[in-house]
Amino acid sequence: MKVYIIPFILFAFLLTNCEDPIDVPSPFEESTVVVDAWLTNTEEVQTIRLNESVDYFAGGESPAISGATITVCRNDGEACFSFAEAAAGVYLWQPQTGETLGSPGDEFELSIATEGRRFSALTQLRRTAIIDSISLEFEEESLRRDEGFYPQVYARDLPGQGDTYWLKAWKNDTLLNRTSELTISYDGTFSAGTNIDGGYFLPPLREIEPLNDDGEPVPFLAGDSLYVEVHSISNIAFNFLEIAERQIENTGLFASPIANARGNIRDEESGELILGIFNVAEVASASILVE
Amino acid sequence: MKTKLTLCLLLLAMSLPLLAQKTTVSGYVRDAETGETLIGATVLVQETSTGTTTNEYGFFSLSLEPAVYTLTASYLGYDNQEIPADISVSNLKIDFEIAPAGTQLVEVVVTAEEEDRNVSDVQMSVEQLDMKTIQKIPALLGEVDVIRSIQLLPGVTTVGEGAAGFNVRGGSIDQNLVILDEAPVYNSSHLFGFFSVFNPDAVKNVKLYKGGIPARYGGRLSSILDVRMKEGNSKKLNVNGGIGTIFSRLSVEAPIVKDKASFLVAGRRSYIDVLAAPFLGDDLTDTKLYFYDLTAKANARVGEDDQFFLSGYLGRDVFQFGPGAGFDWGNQTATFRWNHIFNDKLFSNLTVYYSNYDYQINFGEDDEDTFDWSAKIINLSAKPEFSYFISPDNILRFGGQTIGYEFQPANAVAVNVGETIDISISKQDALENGVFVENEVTLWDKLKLNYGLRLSHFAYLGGRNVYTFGEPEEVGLEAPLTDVEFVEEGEIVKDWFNLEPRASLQYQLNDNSSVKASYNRMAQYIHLLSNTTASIPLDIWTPSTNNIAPQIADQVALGYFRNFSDNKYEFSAETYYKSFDNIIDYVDGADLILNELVEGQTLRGVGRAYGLELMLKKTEGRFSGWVNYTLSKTERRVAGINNGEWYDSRFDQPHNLNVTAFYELSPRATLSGTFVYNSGTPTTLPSSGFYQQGFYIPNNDSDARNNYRVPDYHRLDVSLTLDPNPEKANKRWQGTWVFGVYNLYARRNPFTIYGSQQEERALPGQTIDAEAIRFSVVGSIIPSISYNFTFK
Repeated sequence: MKVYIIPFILFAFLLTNCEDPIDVPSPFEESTVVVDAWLTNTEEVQTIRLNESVDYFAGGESPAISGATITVCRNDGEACFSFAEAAAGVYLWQPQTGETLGSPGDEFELSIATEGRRFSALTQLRRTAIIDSISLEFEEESLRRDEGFYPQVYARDLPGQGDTYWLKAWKNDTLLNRTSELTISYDGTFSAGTNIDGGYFLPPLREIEPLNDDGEPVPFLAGDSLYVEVHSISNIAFNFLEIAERQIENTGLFASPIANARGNIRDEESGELILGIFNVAEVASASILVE
Repeated sequence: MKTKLTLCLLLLAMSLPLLAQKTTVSGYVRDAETGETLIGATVLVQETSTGTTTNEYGFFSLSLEPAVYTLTASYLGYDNQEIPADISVSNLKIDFEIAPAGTQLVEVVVTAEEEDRNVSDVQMSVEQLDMKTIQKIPALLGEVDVIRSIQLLPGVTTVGEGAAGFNVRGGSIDQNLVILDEAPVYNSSHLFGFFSVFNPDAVKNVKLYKGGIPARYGGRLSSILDVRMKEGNSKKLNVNGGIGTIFSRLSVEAPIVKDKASFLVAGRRSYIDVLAAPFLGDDLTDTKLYFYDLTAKANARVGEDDQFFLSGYLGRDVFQFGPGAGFDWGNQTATFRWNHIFNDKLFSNLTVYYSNYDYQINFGEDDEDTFDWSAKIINLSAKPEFSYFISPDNILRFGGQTIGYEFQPANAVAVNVGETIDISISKQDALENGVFVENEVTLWDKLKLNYGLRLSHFAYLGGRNVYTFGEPEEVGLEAPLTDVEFVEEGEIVKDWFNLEPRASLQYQLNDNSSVKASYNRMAQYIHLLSNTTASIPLDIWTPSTNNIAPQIADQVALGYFRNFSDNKYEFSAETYYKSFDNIIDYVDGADLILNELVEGQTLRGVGRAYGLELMLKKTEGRFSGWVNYTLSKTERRVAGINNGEWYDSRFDQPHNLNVTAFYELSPRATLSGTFVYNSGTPTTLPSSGFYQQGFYIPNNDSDARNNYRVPDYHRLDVSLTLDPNPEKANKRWQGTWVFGVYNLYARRNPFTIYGSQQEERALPGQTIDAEAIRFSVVGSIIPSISYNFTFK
């Protein structure tokens, strides 16, 4: 649930001047392998990244892992796709015209071999929602928002329980990639267990609200464009992003205990999960220009 | 089963008088000015040096050899009253009316109780604060606060400033039974946790049991906070009020029929919104932020043997953000009580109460898209209790309680593009029953015993879908749903019985020192689902279900009590060890709100807490107050958390020092000070970070829980109270000024430390910076002025 947070955010805002940076001893011990394998079944270049994790508070570039062998196979070897290293730690697969990884229902296996270790993961390509339309609603100035247009994406969940989606938006070609702009949905709602199905994404999930660096909403004005994509993601990927979103800004009086975003890629020898996730998405898209 | 047992106990009690060849003097002790009954006043028999104290309703009963005696009633801060009692032939009723000690000295009363009760009473691990003391403690923004005051007592902590509730001896906040005139209050805070819901003008007495909990109380593991409301002045009209920084208060109490019936009505409302209104623009007229509470009570004495009370509480916090978003929550309670004296030795009280906590959230600016969501916990209870005063040295108490619960975890209806979607969670019904018997005896003059037994029963009832979960894929992960079955309304889904033995023992070493020991087992059948550092008003209560077992705790405590200088100084040292079973924790990323399958996201574990509490009090004189220090440890072990190893609980504070002091500068002016020092609470910091699709995600590589302690907390508060000039004590209008400074040396005490990421948008491929942030709720010095008045 996302909506209930609003009053707390406003209340927390009253207290924000009570935040200041502090040095803490880092509990970081050693780097581990990170796989970033979010693929789609579009005809675009598909990218998998291999890096090492870093000390969270020290930050900096994640060291790339070069020289790995990466393949993605469809339905038990019906077709396999090799990802070739194009830059340090960046592995690509370039589809031929008309070629894609597969269609909804297909199952995929990711296999990675690097420095004597083997990692693998399974996922299923799921169907995505249908975007009916994008509406542009003009709003007067209010307590929270400046005057302007606030678009709503009318994406409809497909009938059947357990569909999970990631709604990505670009305003004037800038990806809205702040954590608070991350929008994921379970059957058009906020989380599992509601028994709701087949409806439009609930507000505020369908609202596109870019934020500025101060965290204030920025309206769309004449001349602005919006491009949106709805990616189908696995339930594991949904849970992964849900925890990641909560942990990135887990602040204030009402912080929840630390939790790790749990992926699906395992070390074949130890059976342990490694960092990162493998997902293959179907993508629906739409765009609008504010006039 | 229950009725039979009650009947047996009743018969037992009735048969006991036959054994005694004594006559009885009984009655009430009241305040001569207000007619309020006095709880814990002492009645001494001069000839025999025996005595007793009044119960929660101000009643006492003494059975003695037939003779003529002189009885003295006393109460700290009051003048003694002597009354001759001739019970050589028959029983006698005497009502004492004692007057507050002369107003020449506005002495702070640290405890209103028998002077050496600290040593001589069998009860240990109990803390009592009377309102006069609470009112002198420096308060945040000058708002006198019951819950914040008890946090200055040993063994009572809070997870942080502004957090709701309190923690007692390693217990979580839902393990405290907070009762207002016996009705439970489910959320004791206004404004998330800054102010408690009790209006100081309406409170008579506050008592906190931390251990050795008598058998008459049950239902929570860690403590009982028993808040008793004033009855209302039965002698004359009395109006109290005040203007503070946050609240304005007004209370009216007056006799309905002099000495027979009276009432009290007390209200408070915050008024920041009223003050701010002119400064807000037109578009903010629909923005509201206020909270209020209303407390009312009436009582009537009918004949010599019956007294009736009716009391109620209504409180609400309201947040409204423009016309499209609102949020409000609050408690309501209603209590009816009937005190009946069957005979000089048998006193009874029947309580019937209703309690409700609910919240509501609304979104939506037009009818096409709205979201209305509410949740509730309602309960209705009947509770008969009997006290049988066999002799001054032998009291038998017995009774029972039945509580009906209705939990409404969520009534949520969304309208989405005109389509109505109901995402409500079905209600849960439950029934809790308990019977108890408790006997307090003195043996060989030196040994006092209070032993008892409580039998509790809880039934989770049908009328909804009942879920069965399988084994999770890995320990600590969400359990998969394996079966859904509809159970008919009224049918028992699952029920439990628990025997809860309780015992306290006091051995008098000499006139001014004693040792005490106690043991109690407590069972708790309802639980607050809360997974945040500070509880939020949206946290819901759940009954024990087929997937959530009742929590059980055992506690043993041992103490040494010693008074010095004619009871001017009280010293106590207590140690305790407490173990918890079936405590509730949650899987990573659990969704506790609006989740039909929340039971599958709970984990079960054990806990332990132990500590040493030292307390030194100076109870009288111009300089008074207390110092206490607690050394303690609170740990939990839950499969799936911290690799299954023991870890410090979120509110573990090894060292805890409180100093509260009052100094009378003059008969009018009292200077008060509070110093608090706590070890920082533990929290968990992420160790590594990794990128996924441009997001920089923190990770806790070792799965350790609570591996970092926030810096220590310390704070000094002072206040100056200017009471009315004693020379003008007879004036009808009396004013009191309170000047306070909270956090005098402006320490920025951290509530918690957490990681936070840069505010600038990262472009694809750019790295993101994270830093540790210290979050303080109160970052600076907070001065306050308040004015209180009494009109009589």
